[in-house]
Amino acid sequence: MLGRTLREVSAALKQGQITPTELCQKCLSLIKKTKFLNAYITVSEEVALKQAEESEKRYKNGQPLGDLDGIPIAVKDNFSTSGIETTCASNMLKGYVPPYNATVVQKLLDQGALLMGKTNLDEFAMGSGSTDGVFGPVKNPWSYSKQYREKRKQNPHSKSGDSDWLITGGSSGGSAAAVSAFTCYAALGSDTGGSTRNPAAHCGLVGFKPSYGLVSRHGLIPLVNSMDVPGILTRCVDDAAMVLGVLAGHDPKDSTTVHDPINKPLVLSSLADVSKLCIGIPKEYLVPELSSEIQSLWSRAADLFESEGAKVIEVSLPHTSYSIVCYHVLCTSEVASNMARFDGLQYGHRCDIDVSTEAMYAATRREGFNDVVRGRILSGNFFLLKENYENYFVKAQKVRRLIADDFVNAFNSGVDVLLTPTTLSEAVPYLEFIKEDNRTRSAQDDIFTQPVNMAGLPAVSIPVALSNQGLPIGLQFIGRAFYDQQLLTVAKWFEKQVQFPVIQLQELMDDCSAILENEKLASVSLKQ
Amino acid sequence: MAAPVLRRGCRGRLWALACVDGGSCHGRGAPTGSPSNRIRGQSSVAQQPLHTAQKPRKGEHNWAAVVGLEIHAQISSNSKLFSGSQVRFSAPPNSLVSFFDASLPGTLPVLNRRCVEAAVMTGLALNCHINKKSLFDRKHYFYADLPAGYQITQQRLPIAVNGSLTYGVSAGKERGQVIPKTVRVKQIQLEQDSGKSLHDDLRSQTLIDLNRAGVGLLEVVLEPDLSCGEEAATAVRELQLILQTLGTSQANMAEGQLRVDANISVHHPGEPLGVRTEVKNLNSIRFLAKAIDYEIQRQINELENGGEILNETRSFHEKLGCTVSMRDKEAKQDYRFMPEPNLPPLLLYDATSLPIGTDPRQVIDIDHIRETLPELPSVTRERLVQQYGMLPEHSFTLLNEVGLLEFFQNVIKETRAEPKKVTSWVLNIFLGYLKQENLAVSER
Repeated sequence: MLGRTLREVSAALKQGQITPTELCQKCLSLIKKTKFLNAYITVSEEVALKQAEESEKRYKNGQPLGDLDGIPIAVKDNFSTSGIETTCASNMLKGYVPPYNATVVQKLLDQGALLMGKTNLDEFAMGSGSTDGVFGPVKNPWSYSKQYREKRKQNPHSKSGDSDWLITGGSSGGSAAAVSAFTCYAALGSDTGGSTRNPAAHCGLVGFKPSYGLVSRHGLIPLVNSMDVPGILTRCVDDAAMVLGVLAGHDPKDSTTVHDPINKPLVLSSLADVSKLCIGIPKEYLVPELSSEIQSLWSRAADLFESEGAKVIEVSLPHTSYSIVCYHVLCTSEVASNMARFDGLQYGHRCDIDVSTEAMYAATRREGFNDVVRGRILSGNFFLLKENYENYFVKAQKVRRLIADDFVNAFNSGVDVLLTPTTLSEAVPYLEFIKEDNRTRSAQDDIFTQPVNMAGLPAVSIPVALSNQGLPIGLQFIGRAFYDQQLLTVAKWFEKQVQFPVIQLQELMDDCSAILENEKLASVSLKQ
Repeated sequence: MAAPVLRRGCRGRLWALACVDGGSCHGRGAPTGSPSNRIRGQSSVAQQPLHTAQKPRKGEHNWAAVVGLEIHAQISSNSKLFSGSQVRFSAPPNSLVSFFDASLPGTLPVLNRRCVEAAVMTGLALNCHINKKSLFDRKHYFYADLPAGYQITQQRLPIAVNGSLTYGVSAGKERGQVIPKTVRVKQIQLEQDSGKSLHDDLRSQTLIDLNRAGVGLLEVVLEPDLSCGEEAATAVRELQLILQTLGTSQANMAEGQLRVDANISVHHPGEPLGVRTEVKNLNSIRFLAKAIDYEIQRQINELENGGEILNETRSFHEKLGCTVSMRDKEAKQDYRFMPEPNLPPLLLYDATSLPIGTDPRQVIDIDHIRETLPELPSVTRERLVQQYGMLPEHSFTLLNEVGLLEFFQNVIKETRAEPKKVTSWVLNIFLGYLKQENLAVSER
C-alpha cells in the first residue's frame, strides 16, 4: 500500500480497503524504521493520528473532503506550521513554534491531508545537497536500494558500514527522501534555484516547480522573495497535478499571487499523440561538465519525442552563461535583507550577552547562523552598498530581464516545452560531495535549474532511467509562464513512455513486514 | 505693527501667521549665550520690531539660512499600512501587533487601500503630481524597534512629487494684510512607522513596544525654501490644518502623529550652500521654531569663530532650549536600499486610463478622489473674508483653533448681528474667555 501512488491510495481509502488510521500508522512505523535517513526533523505523530481519526469519521459518513483526505504528506521545515516547531534546520529557529500555518499547509490540511512531519533541509534552504543543516545531512534512500547495491556488488541487506551513502541533493532533500522511502505520498519542498527539482532527480521522483505567482508564498520562510516558490514532490505526475490543484490560486495574504489562472481541480488529460508538440533543446545547456550518461539520456529523450511525431528543434538561450552569476548576486542580496529580521528579539535564538543591543545582535546572529548563511549575508550586503548597487544589483536585474526574455523568445518561436537535463550527474557519495564547499557546489549543481527561477517559469523534473550505477537520472521540462497544466500534460506523456522503475527497498520492507500485512512490494507499474 | 496682534489670545500657540518683512529673517530671534538670554530671545521672536531684524550680528557679512523639512504624518486609518492590526493611541504595550508587525518569518506585506487614498488626497491638496506608478523599497538598518531590520518605504519612485505648500504671512505696514508664501513640496511617500523604545537606564535595558510598528506614515519632504523658525513653524501649521481638514492625519504633534525633522545650513548669499545638520525629535510647533532658530544662530556663531559645521544629527533639548549632537547616531549610514520584492508596483488610475469593467474596489481613481476632496483651509479663509468681510488674519485665527470655525458659524446662524461684530466678539471676548479659563473650544 505504501508503494502506491496518491491517487491509488485515495481510491483505496474511498473504497474502504484501508482506513486513514491504518495508513497513518504504517507510515509512522516506516518513518521510525527509516530514521537513519534523517529525512525528518520533526515527526508530528500525535497530530497526524488525530487528523487520521477525524478523516476516518468523514470516510465512515461517506463525506471525505476530497482526494487528499487521509493522505499522509510531509512538509519541508521552512514552511510555517502552527503549533509545530519550524526550524529551517538552523540554530536561529530551534524551538521556534509558529502561531500560524503557511497558506499551502493550510490548504492541504483543509483537504484532510495528514501531516506526518517536517522534513530536513540545508540551513535556510541554502545548498544543493541537504547536507548543511544543523540536524545533519539527509541520506538518499537509493543508497540502500537493491538496484544500487547490486551494481556495487554489495550485500543488499547490509545497512552497516554505509560510509559511502549518497546525498539526496537539495535543498529539499528531506522531503525527497520522505517520499522516495514511502513514508508519505507527497511532500512540499521549496524551489528557489532548483531546490525541489534537484533532489527529485537524485531520488527518482517527480519534482514540480510551479510558475511564480501561481502558488502562495505566505508562510514560506523566504530565501529569495522574487524567486521562491513552494515545490511539490511526488512519485508520479498525476499526483503532482492533484496537489497543485489544491495549492494553486490567488492568496490575498501574498500580493505576488495572480488571480486564478488555472482550472481546479486539476485533472490532466492523456495526450493521445505528440504530433502537434514542439520541443526545444537549448544548445547552451550542453556543457562539458555534463555527465555522458545524462547527455545520452537527454539525446534519447529528444529522439523519443521525434520518433513519436513531435517537432524537436534546437533553440538558443544566449544569456545562459551569465545566469548563475546573476542568480548569486540577486540571491545573496535578498538573503542579506531577509535575514535582517533574525535578531533574537521577538522569537528564535537569543544569545546570553546583554552588554548592548549591538553586541547582542552580533552574537545572536553569529551563533544562530551557519557559515553558509553568514557568507551569503556578507556578500549580499556588499552588493547592496550604495557604491556597488548599480554595478551589481541593478546590473544583475537587467541581465535577469535578458535571461527571462531568452525564454520568451524561445517560446514565441513556436516551442511549447523545453527539454533539458536537471543535474550534471547522478547523486554522489556524501564524502565526495563535501570535498567542495557549499558555494562551489551550488554554483555547479544549480546550473540547469536556476535560470527557470530567474524567469519565474514552471518546470518539472521527471525520473527517466537508472544510471550505470543503478541511480536515478531525471530530465527537466520547462514551460511558459502559467502554462503549468500544459507542461504537466507533456510530462505525463513522457513519464508513461519511460516507465521509470520503482525503488527496491526490500530490506526496509522486510523489516516492516512484521507490522504490515502480508504485502510484497513488487514493481508497481505507474499505470492508474 | 503686527507684533501686538500676535500676542493676543496666543498663549503658547503659534498662529499660522509669521511676522516677516518678506525677506529672510536672519539673525533674528535666535538666542545666544546663557539660558536666560535664550528665554528672552524666545519672547523676542514675537516682539522684535521688524526693522531691527535686518541688523546683522557682530559686524560681519549677511548670513542666509536654508531650512528643509521632512515631516512624518501618521495616517488616520483603522489598520496599519501593510497589516490588519489596529491603529490606536495609548493601547497596552504590544497589544496591537500582528504576525507581520512582529516580523515573524514567512509573513508578507499587504497594502492598505485607505493609506494609498490618504496619500493621493494629501498629494492633490498640495498640488502634487500623482505618480500613476510608484514603487516600494526596503531601507535597512538595525534597531530594536525595527523588527524586520528594514523599513518599507518609497525611495525610488514615491507616490506624489513636485507640489507646493502655501502658508500665510502677515505683512508689515498694513494691518491684516496677508502675503502668501510658498514652499515647494519635493515628494510625498508612504512608509512604515517604527515601534517605540523606552530606555530604562536603571536596569540597563530597553523596553520595546511594537504597537506603532507598521503604522502608515506619509513623509512629506519640503524643499529648502524656508529660511527661519517662524516660516518653518507656519508652514508646518498649515500642513497640519490641511491634513486635519482632509482627515488623512490627525496630525497631533503631542501624540506623535506629526513629527518634523529639520535640515539646516547657513551661508553667505551668493556663495554655495553650507554644510547642513539634521535636527530631530521636534514634537511641538513651538519647539520647532525655537530649535531651528537656535541651530541657525549656533552655526553662524561657529563659523564666525572660525569653526566648522559637521554634517551630523542633532536633537533638540527642550529644557535647555538648545540642540545637542546625537553622537551615537552616525551621520552616514548606508541603508542598502533594495526594491521590496513582495509588493508589485502600485498602479493608480484616472478617468482616462481606468479600464472598463474594473471592480472599483480593486482600483484607485485619482480623478474621483480629486472630486471628493473637502474644502481646503486656504479656500475656506478666502471664503470667510469674502463672505463676512473680515480681515485675512481673523480668518487664520478662526481656523487655527479646533472647533472655533464651527462655533462661529453657529453664532452667525443664530444671531442677526452684523458679521463683523460677531467676528470681533468671537475672536476677542469669547476666545479671550477660553484662554483665561484654560479651556478648549470643544469643552464649552
